[in-house]
Amino acid sequence: MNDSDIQIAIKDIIAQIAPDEDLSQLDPAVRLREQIELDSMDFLDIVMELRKLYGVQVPEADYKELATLDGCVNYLRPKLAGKTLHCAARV
Amino acid sequence: MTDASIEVWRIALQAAGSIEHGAALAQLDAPERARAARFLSDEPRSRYVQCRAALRTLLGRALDADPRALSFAEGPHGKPLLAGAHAGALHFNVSHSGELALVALARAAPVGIDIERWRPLEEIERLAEKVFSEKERERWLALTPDERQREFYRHWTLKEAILKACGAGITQSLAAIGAGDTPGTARGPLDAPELLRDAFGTPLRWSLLEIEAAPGYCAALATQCPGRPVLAQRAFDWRALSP
Repeated sequence: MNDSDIQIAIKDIIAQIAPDEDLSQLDPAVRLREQIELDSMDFLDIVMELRKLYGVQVPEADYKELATLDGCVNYLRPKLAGKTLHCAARV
Repeated sequence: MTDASIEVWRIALQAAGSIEHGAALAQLDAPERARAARFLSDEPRSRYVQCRAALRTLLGRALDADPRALSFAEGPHGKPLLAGAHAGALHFNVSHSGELALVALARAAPVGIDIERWRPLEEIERLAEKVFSEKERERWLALTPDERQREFYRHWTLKEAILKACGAGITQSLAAIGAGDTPGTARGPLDAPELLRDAFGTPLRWSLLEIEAAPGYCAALATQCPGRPVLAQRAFDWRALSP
């Protein structure tokens, strides 16, 4: 599993929550909420999917780490180590 | 606008291209335009531009200032504030969901506002773990499925409004803000043992108001305005945009 796989897995979750967005153009260094429409409840959905799919618990204090795609990858890399990623849609 | 009054403005967001996008965009400053440009699709970009243009128009009118000359900064926890010549002159907060935005304006104290469009929530029980305190959850689980959906949104918007008034956003635990633990007080004032105390440990007095925004939406406002705040709800008229 490399960083690209993690990024795809995250985009896969976002694609379920924001199905109308074209995620292929996401800039990984720019805040997600500045590029696509994600409200607080959508964000909580992402956190819940991470728990459901991968058993990853994200405490509220760490939510800020998930602000960008790059941030998500850095935060989740150690937590996803050794796990099988679900990447249904290669977005 | 008096010290005790809070204005809540309802902004009907229009489909992209159906209002004069140029007129709305012309109200924004360079950082806002740059942010608008970062959206990947037209609808969220247009909604962002409309929210900012309406906010500037409303603040400009309340402050008797040119909406385009207003500048903004972020508080310690990222809460948007007025900066420059009008720093501290007015408290405001913005929320949008679906096709509606709400802007709250107050002179006396910080305000937080939240609106959510109802949508069926899958796995609401799991979300509830993140949103409700233990006592709230016990009460919530005793409700019917329909009541659970309604109460979920009601608690969510009340708690989000408090966090937004504090400037804390969702990075603080929603579940840490618990409704009163006394039986029968589920609709009463919320009590947050840690979050809602000032630096000297004194509990802060919060006024929480549920707002009837529109069918299909749930909304709430939180403020520390002294006394009983007077709420005035108004609809924003797009013709108010500066030419």
